[in-house]
Formats: sequence, structure tokens, C-alpha cells
Amino acid sequence: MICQAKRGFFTLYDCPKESAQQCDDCGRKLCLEHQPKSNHFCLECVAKKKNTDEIKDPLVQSYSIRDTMMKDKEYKPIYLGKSISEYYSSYDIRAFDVELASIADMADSPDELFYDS
Amino acid sequence: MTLIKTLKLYRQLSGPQKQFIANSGIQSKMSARQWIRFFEPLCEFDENSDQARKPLWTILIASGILVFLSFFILPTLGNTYATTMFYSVMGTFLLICGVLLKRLHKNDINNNIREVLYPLLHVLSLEVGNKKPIMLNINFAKKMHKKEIMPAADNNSVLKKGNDVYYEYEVLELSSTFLDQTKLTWKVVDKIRKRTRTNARGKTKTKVKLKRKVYTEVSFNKALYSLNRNEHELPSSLGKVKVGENKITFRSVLKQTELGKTATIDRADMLSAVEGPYQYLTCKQGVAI
Repeated sequence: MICQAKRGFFTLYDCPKESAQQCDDCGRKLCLEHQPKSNHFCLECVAKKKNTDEIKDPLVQSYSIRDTMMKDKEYKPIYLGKSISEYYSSYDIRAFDVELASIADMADSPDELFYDS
Repeated sequence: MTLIKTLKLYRQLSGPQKQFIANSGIQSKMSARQWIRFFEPLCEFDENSDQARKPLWTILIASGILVFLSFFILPTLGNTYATTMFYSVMGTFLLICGVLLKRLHKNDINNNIREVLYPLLHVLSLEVGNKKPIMLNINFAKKMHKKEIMPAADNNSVLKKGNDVYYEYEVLELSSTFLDQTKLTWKVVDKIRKRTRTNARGKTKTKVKLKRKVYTEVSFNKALYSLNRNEHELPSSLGKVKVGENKITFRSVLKQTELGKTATIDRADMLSAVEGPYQYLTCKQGVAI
């Protein structure tokens, strides 16, 4: 099964990686980049629970900034993908049916290299 | 303990990382992941170095006061051996503290790397992907390589308070292409005014004023995006908008409120300069790029 998390910051994309774990909080099936092996919760759930300033991990901080931007600043993200899950229902998403050839760029190297927890 | 850790962290840095510290800058093209891996140990070192320097200064000042007081107290005791020992120990201690402080100061990294650039690279990694490169040109050189942009002003004018020379130099330049083929360029430029004037007593005084500006340019691919309203109806906060044959370009300038060479650049404002234009775009359905 494909990872249910969305990549991107200003725009959202489907994560093309295979899911490997399930988040104890949101129940989504996610890849190792969105939920590292040793974590019970996905990075997005961790980011949602804390204030941006309290987060030390810069990657989790990025998700927190994205969440704040989309909720508090009422930023309407452009979604370039196929299926948006209910997890993102609090975001005022503008969805478009677009196929990005470069999306394959996202999954070219092992997850462990990117995020060590 | 922090001091030992800092020195250990410095030893663990790679050659190019040490070179980055020595030059206060770098110019290269790498993927977001590679940049993150490059800056991660540097940021850890810088954080520890900043923490280590504070207590070292306190110890140095306290020891200096103690030595100063000892000039008056020790002669009254009349013990030559104890006096000699005290001055030898304190002298060595102060020397070590001074050398360490100088070394840490020399290897100090501008806080903009840790507090602005490093988190921004994580943000960009979500948008850029793993393969696409990010071009970075950093120049936080302590001895500025200034480029004179305006010759010394004519001093004959009555209104002129002195001789003004203006300089500008690029502190940081970042450019990359997102997965949706949007091109982003951030340029942080320091504009410096150096005013030299001679007062009534004949003394020459120099005043330096620095203004930092962040130039943002975002170009959207017209094959994918179009403006969701008329060009003239867009808010002025978005800056200049140019609709070309193949792209829609937004150019904006942010003036840094916090001034000074070490002042941190506003990360949130930099992100807003990119986020803003996206709000006024609509996507073309069924497009494959």
C-alpha cells in the first residue's frame, strides 16, 4: 500500500513510497520517512501536538509550520494528486487533477538516509 | 562539559565543513538532503559553541577581578611562595581561557545558518524532492569583500554632512526548482552606507549603516498555472508581477526590520513571499508536466 501522507509545503503531493508502519494516533499507513521505525506516531501528528517553537527537529518543525500556515493563516494549498484523505480535511485544499512526471524524484534513495530518529 | 563537546564536534567536522567555517561561506549545488547533511554537524557545533562561550566569558571576567584584588591582598600576607604560585596558576588559567575564547570566536558560524537557512532547507526538501539541486551561495565573510557601487559623494554640497560611499554585497543566494517546475530565487543583500566626516576639531569620524534586503523571485510554469484574477487586481504586497509567454513571475523585496550583520533574517517573511503568489494561482486540470 502507498504511503497516505502528503509531501510538499506550498503545494501537496501524494507520497509515492510504500507504507511500512501505522501511526498510533491517526491510524494512517505511512512510509518510513513520514513515520520513522522507532516512532509510534507519524511526524505530522507529532508536529500538530506541539507549538513550532517547542519542536527541535527541523523536519518536524517544517510540518508544524505547514500546519500553522494552512490552518491559522488560512492558506489554501494546491493539491496535485489523486486521493486526498480525511486527515487533511481541516485544510482548505484546492484540488487539481495533475500528473507530475518529477514526482518520482521523491523516492530515489532509502528513507534511513533522510531521517534518523 | 559543553566546551569539551564543542572541541570534539569541531574535530569531527569534515574538510569542506571546516573550510566553510574558515571562509564563512560556500558556493555549490547539491540536493536538499546533501545540504542538510552538510549543515547538520555545523549547526550542532555552532549551538554548542555559542553555549560554551557564555560561561567562558563569565569565568574570564571573574578571574580578572580576582587577580586585580590579589594585587592588594597578597602583599599584606607576606608569603612569597603562595603569591608566586597564585599568579602562575591564574596566569596559565587566564591564558588558556583567552586562547579557547579566541579559537571559538574565530570558528563562530553566523546564526543565520542555524536559525534560518537550515530550517528553510528542511522546508524546501518537502517541495523540491531528493534529486533536484539547490544552488547556494553563502558569504558571511567576517572581512567583507565589498563592492563599491557608488563613488564618494560630492562634498561641495552644503546639505551633505560628510562623504558618503555606498556598498552592497550578497550575503546569501538560494535558487531551486520545485517539483511543479516553479523556480525560486532568494537573494539576501546587505546595503551599506559609510559616511566619513571631519568635525570642528579636525577629527575624522566614520559611521556605517547597514540595511538588509531579501529579494524573492518566484516563476510559475504557465503550462500548469494561471492567475485566478486580473493582473492589476493583485495586492501590492505580492510585489511586481510579470506574465510572460511561458511563465508568471512574482518579484518582491523584504526589508529586514532587525538590523546588523549578525541579525537573523526573518524566515517566516521569506516563506510568506512564496506562499502569497500561490494563493492567486489556479491549476490547469488534467495537465501532465
